[in-house]
Amino acid sequence: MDFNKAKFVDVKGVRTRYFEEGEGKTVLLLHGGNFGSPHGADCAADWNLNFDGLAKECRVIALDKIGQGYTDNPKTDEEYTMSTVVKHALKFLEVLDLGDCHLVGHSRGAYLSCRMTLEDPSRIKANIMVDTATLGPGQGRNHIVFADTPQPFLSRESQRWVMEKYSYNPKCVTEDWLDELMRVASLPKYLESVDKMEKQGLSEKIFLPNHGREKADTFDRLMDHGTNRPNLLIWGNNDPTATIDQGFVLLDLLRHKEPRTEMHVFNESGHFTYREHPEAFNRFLLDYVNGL
Amino acid sequence: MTIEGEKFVDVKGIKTRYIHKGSGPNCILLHGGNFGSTTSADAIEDWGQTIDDIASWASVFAFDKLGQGYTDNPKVDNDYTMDAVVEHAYHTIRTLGIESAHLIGHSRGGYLTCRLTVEHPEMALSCIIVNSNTCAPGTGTNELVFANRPGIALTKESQKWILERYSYGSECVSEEWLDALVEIAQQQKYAESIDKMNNQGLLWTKFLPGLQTDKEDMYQVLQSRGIQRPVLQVWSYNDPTVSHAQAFELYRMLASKERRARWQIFNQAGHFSFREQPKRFNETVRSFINSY
Repeated sequence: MDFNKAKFVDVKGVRTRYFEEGEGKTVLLLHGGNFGSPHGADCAADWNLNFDGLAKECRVIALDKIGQGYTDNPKTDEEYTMSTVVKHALKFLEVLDLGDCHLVGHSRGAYLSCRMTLEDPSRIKANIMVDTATLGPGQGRNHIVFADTPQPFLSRESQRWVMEKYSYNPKCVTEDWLDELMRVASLPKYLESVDKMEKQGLSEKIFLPNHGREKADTFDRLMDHGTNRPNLLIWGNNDPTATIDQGFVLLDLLRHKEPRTEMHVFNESGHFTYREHPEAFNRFLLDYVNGL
Repeated sequence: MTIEGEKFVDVKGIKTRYIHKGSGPNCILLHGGNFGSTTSADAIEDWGQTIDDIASWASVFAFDKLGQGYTDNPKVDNDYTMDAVVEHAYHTIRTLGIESAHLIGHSRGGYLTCRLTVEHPEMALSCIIVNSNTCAPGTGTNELVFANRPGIALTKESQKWILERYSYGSECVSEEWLDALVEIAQQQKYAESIDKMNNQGLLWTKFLPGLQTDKEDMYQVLQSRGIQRPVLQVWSYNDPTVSHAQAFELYRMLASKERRARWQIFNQAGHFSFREQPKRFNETVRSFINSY
């Protein structure tokens, strides 16, 4: 994944960075984390071990979600919500005129892919979700796992510590990934979003309450009408934050109204299953997508 | 009735039926059930379309296990054991001149693949265990699921009832499959094996006690040395004879020492997941095999 080959597009006034390579079926990668996170500056680079391999067999697009990576922050305080993230990503599909998208969402990005599919499946072909406590019933264990995050936050060593804690094999936390996470974390707009979320308290005042309501509504929709698109859930057996038991409960919810639902588990894998097993993950994902 | 392309080979005095189709990596299909079963007369025919599906990209072998289908019964009472089934399978593979292969086993055949892999790792390129409570710790729920079976054992009606109870839908229980199983059950040698297992009680005095000891022994290896081969468990949500808890426990043991341990969960499929989700079964197996 060549970080110098970034593309930018205006999505309703939000300058949005994305990467695009290859030809064939469209696979849209949706990374995890959220704007203003003091722990890790997740962005499209989370997929850097997978991107080139996928591009050999499909058209792969990885975007920076609103407020993350090099994509502009939300314009108003009220927009520091997951609902805004969903709106922005749906608009992105429209602006690029993407159809038959195979969404692959990780962590908070898996909530995003599921929510996009529920709200407007018109441009979506499949909903693929990886290791997600944000969508999984109940809570993740992040507050326990990251209780002792070394300071200063967002320094290279702090982000490395966070990503290694997420992982089964620390080798999947590569230097080129950390380089990009550091570049993002040093952007003035990123520091501004940290200030908004943490110091000004938007995380607790706006973001989490909105997410709580929206998550309940998401479960209602899954129980009521389902995704109307095939669902694939991929999980790491050793994810310390989004436990596999959460995955099993989520699977049950997803299959309630959508028969085309399945789950695949990788072993010796933490939260970033696609980084821990890049080749096997890509192979499995591509074979699934090609079979649809 | 014969299966297209069926052949016979002498395996240490045991006439053994097998078939071979396709070219590519070697795959061996090992069906479920056991000799003298009064529920269903499992044989190569269990695999149905799976053989052709896999033969489209691989060199597929399938054979009738010792005492099942059109393969001879064990020669002595002491061989009415899973251990003898494992021995026979090992020698069949050797007699067919196959040095190594991906082993794919269903139900009791799932135990067989796992046992062969543990005992003869040089023979197993990978190990695929499909819907197997024989391989999983604890006992299955077969006695409860099949209690109160109507009519006379092993008639078409009876086997149909059994196979439908095993399944999510009834479409996968084809006339062709039933006719083949009924014909197998009508052989004199099948009647003999029923007499041995049930009337003479070898099921209770030999088969089950031997299997229990062998399972404990295998679990020791899985958790100490590990299986040392890529291993995939395929399990489906609607299998009434293998619980999620059992499948999870088996996966935990397989994964305890093997990084390449994976687990695929299908929805809307019962015990014969490959008959109810044929397309995804084939894609998943191929994807797994191509990953390592």
